[in-house]
Amino acid sequence: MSRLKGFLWFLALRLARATATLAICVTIVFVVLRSAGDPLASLLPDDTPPDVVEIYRERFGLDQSIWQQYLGYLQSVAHGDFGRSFVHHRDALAVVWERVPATLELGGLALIAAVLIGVPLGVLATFGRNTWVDRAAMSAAVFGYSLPNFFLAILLILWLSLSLRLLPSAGSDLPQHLIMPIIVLGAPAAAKIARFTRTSMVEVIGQPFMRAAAAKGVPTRPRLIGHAFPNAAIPVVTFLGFEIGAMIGGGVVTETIFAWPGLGRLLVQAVGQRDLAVVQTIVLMIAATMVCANLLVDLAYGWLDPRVRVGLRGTGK
Amino acid sequence: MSVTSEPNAATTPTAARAASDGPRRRPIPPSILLAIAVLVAVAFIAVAADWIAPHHYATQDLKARLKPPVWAGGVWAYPLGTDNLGRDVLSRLIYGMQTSLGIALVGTAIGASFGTTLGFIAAHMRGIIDELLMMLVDVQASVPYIIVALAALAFFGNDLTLFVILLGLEGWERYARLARGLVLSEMAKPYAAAIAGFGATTWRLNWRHVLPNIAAGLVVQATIYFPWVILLETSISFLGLGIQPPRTSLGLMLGQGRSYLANAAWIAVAPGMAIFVTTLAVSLVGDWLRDRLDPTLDG
Repeated sequence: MSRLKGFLWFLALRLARATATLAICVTIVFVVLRSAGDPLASLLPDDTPPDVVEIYRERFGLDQSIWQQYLGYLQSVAHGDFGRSFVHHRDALAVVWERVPATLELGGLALIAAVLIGVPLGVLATFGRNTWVDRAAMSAAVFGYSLPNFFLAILLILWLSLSLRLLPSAGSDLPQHLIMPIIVLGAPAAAKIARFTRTSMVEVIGQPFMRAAAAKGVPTRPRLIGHAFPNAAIPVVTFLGFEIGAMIGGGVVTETIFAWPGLGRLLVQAVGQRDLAVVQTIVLMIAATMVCANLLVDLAYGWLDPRVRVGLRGTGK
Repeated sequence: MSVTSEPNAATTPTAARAASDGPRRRPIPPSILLAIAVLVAVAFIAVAADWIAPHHYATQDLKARLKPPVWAGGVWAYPLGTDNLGRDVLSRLIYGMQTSLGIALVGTAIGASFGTTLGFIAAHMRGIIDELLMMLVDVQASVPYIIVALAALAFFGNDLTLFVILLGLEGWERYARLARGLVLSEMAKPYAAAIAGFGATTWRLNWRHVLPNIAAGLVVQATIYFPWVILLETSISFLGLGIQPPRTSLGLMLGQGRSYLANAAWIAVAPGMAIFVTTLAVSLVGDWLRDRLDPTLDG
């Protein structure tokens, strides 16, 4: 019973923290929007008569106190009303929402590819620790994240599209269009995951229970895969949570280069056109996604590693 | 770093020098020497751009558009070829390095001082301010920074000063977190209590004693994250939302060269290689410095 109570406390604390983080994000966006200048100045022509400006001021609620405006903003955000895109002449949320599936498709596939390559590479590096396998895997990892994603994309286009003529350089109609974006988005992630998996494995191998397993006579391979890996995998799960953020960031450049119709490309276009309604919708949506991802990672962590939820209250026996 | 930890140190001048290099007296590996040489060369190019660039970065020669590099049938007047407006790629590369490195350096300085100051404040004002600052750190860490920077550029309009400040604010939370932890552990040491006991003000204690003691860790942190600032600047400029023409940066050059990949790949490949080599060299030196100073100090 008290064990369940401990878990509920853990859950409640994490939920409260996630809500607070999100509230701060919304507040920051509101403050930035208000301090960025008079919203009417960009909407109305310069020679609008003052009484007309006054009417619009009233209509947008700009004549109210800043606190009333803030409450109104919170209310409209809670209702999913982020304003109208003046480029697309539609509800900003609808414009953004259309782009979500493409980003999820690309990001999801890239993340899966990165895990499938990065984790085995990291484990392999621990098998031959301090041999050439290890060094080669780790050098590849260093190269992987020193190579800027936009330059990797350009090299791939030069090689696979222009020189070998194997793949189309940009677009989104065929399955082949996905290959290069997945490489560009997934390669740095795979490199980081490999490095992190190795560090985590090396740490676990130093634990006393690993020596006990060796003393018991468990052979090397089952010892590393059956005993070390499950323990080493827990921090890797947390790391994946951070990696989702890096992928969203990397998606901005990748989608733009390969003309992939996702959120990142929409953001770049909206920033260029100063379509503020779309920009704030994307920022808040990403913030919400990241907060949820972090919450899920925290919960998964508590589920995988009982020490976390027990340690939090100290009484959850 | 003290000489007393080395039994035979200071018996001969060479031994003394070796001891002052570090406690372990491990030779610098060749790859690090190479990386340092690259960095010195890059720094020289960036500082001396006005003297070594054969042309001005904005000088156009419309009769010499899209000329290939020397080894691909070009002329020595334009060693790395020219771009779509007949501008010398080598000269633009040199000036682009100056812009990109200069901006990244100023940005890192801004982020490091801002973050470190907040870290000091958080460490000394425990309680609500500490909690608030650390919550802000969480918020900043929860949204990918390139999104925040792009949104700020959209809200406030593109402006060089704003751009540099935005680059600096990338990662302030890492400095804040690191400085907070380091200050807390320094304050727990006997010397801090002793100096405070002598009647030193909090300001003097922090500025004259704690800061010099934790400076090495902060400098290593700055070296490790310097490439991130370069990559952020080049990414945003690549998208056409950062540095604006006629000014140039490595990222902007690469972005402009993207349209000419099919017939003039050198316009994009030259700045791309420059970015890659520079960030790789800084990363190698940064990792090496960290391992030497303290292997447990990790991001």
